[in-house]
Amino acid sequence: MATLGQILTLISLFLSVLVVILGFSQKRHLLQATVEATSALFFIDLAASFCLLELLVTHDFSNRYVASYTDSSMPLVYILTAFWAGEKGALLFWALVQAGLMMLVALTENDAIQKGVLAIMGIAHSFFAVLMVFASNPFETFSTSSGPPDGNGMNPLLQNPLMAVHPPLQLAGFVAWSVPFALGMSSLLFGAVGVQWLKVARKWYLLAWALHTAGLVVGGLWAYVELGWGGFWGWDPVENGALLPWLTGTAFIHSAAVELRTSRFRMWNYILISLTFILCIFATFLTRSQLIHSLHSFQNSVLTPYFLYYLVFLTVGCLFVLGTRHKYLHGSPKLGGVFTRQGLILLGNILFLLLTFVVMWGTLLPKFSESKMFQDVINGMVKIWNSLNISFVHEITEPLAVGPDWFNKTTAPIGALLLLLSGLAPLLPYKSTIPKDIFRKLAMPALLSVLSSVVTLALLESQTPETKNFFIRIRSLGFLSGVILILFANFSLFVALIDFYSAIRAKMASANIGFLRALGNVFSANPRRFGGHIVHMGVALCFLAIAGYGQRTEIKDAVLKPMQSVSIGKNDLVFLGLRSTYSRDGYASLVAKILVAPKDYTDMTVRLDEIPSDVQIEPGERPFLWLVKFKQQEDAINFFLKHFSAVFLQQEMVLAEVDRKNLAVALAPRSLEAINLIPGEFHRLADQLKQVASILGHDRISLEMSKGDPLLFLRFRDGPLFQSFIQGFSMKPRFLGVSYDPSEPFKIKVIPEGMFKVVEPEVRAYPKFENPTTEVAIDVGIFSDLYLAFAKAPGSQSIMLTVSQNPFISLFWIGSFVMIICVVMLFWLGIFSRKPQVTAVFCGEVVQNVGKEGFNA
Amino acid sequence: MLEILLEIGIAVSISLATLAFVRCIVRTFR
Repeated sequence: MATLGQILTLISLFLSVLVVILGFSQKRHLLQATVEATSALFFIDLAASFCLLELLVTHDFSNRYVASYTDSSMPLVYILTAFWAGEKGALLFWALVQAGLMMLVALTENDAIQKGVLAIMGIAHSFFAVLMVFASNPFETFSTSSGPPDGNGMNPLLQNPLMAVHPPLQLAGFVAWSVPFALGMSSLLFGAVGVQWLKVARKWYLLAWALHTAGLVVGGLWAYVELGWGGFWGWDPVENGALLPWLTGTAFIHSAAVELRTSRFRMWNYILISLTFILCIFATFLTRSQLIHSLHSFQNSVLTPYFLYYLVFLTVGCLFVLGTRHKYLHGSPKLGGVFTRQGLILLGNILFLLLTFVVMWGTLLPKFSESKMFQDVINGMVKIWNSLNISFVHEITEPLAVGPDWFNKTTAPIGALLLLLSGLAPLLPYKSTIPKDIFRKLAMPALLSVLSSVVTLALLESQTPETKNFFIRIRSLGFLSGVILILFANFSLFVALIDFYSAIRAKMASANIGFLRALGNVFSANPRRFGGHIVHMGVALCFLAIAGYGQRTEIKDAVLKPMQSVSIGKNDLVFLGLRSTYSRDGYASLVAKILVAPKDYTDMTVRLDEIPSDVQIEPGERPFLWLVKFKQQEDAINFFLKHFSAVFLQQEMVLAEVDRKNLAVALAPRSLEAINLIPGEFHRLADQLKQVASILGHDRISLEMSKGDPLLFLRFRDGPLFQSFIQGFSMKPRFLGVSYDPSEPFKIKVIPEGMFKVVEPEVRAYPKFENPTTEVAIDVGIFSDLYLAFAKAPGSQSIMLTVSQNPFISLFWIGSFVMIICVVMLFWLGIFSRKPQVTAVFCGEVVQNVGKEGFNA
Repeated sequence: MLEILLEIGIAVSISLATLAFVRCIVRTFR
């Protein structure tokens, strides 16, 4: 199978070169041959992908890639996702998606459009085929042996359903930008450079944007639920790398809309789409090159020089094509003023590029500042500055780096301005200057946004337990920027909503139809305008989430022993204890049980059957909710031991041996794998029992540990105590916590089960990976998330709990979902809409007849 | 089961690729 795979990658390279050669030809029959070669290429890549999947599912560890990223104990779903989890598999996946898109272009566009486009996409494919054949072949086998008996397994961080979909979406997003790029370049090389190529490219750049956005959002969601630091964007170099083409691509989508409407920004659009595609390759280069240290980097990649050469080739190629065609790219109508829709879109474009520059600068600064020349230039400027005696600045002697704070501070004002523009631009006409009724148009959304911002802020305040007065907090820059973001986001939201509402009302009145039908009609009649509104609404929701997230409350690394608590927001979080489990998926989990109890809880109406009728129940001191008072001390102790066994021991230990005659038991851990994988786990279990023995008295219970096996021996003084202990192992636990204090011998403190939520963050240990992974627990709320992660603290029973209350975070996922779904719908409508008449424009022969005028069509 | 499906996939893909390549040759030298 590996040999077949190697042959198929070689054929793939041959076919992609064939597509390039045939695709650049001027003859019509060769164009048809290009389409056939593209089909052959796609099916060969598909066959190669099936080969790799077969090697993965059959655990063929003689293949280096299979041995590096899988092992025999992994669940099938992650074995399949190993296809793109490693560098070599990702190359094959990239080639497959590229060939798939070429096939889709060949199927959905007419012959004239395919000319040049397939060839340019073929160049992109050839690059990845070259990498597979000459540098990083996924079908490479061990040359001297048949491979290890088992593979290395997949990094546990990647064994997450979101990570199963994030890489393919992100890669597909990068690849999909190649379609509008190829259309743009082919229009420059072969056809007219008017708006025709943009009409064809529109659905493709919408698809690319939707996939790219989905990739970023799913990556953010993965970081939020998997990495345990509480956020969704860490400004990691590779994250930033993926953001760069998204920013230029988003700028391109806006300026393309202007060109489609007014034929302006022609050169600008060619530059933007070229930049977007080049930045996609740059982002991939960042992941592979280890240029900047990052969480996402592939280790020991050999591809760095290849990517560098490809980047240089693309940049020089684009500059050459644009340079030779630049004289045909002028002559567009005048802008018509800054306060027009196109003027604001241009301003937005500049802001997007400024953001791109800022993010790139912050990302590459550690690399730049390594260079002596860079340090000399900066130090020269520092000397001049210091000589002016304005303020003293230190010279730099080592590489500089900036952190998330720097990125947040520099990008937030630009983001806020873009948000404001997204609200203002739809109110203005494309070409003419400010209309007379602009203030009337502005008044309603402005008024509504102020009112809704007050409500939003009140909601935000209710989620954050700040004691400081609003008017004191507003003086801090962080809070003020949050308020501004909320105001602008609401403004953008209401501009879109009001326009939608007016159009729907007019449609309902004119066609005498219901609301939903009118909504459908309005959207389908002008999907560009209303699709844009929906996407802007999604963006506004995302910014509301960012504003809310900026005001989150966080408690970091609070050290807690069992039954200790921390307070956050309106809740007390009680650490109930730890338990360990072993999963069939091959890892052991240490689970912290955390009770989320509202601070103001007072209800005492519930009474459980397990509590004898002759005892008294009173409200207990926090965190214990009930205080159960007994008449006899022995009854209290028996009650405590029975429920202690049920609550804390039953899930983790089994009665290995019961000696009723001598009132003794031997306890063994339920899972030996968990004991072996989690350091100190057996001692934790033993310590739990030691504590009980010391509380009840060693004369009542004596404990011994086995010298060789993981066994604990307990001997009881009297029969009822022994019976209570045994009973606990066979009953359903009815409490979450139970405690006995010898200084109050008649009272047992309990936390009843079922009254409040229990959340369970985990730490997972994998047999083949040294570092444990954090599995966060998120209590998702409508207005805020409670986010918990923990690490083991010194001492067998203690944890370090990190907890944060993240207001409005759900709005980010909702807003992103709205944007992506809307853009996918627009792509879908584009695929099935009437084809624009572009044959004459793209066909080489006709262009020759049209001459230079054709380029200005 | 999955292995069989993958093997069928490989066979079908290679057949379709061969067919497309033959058509490509035919069209090129027409």
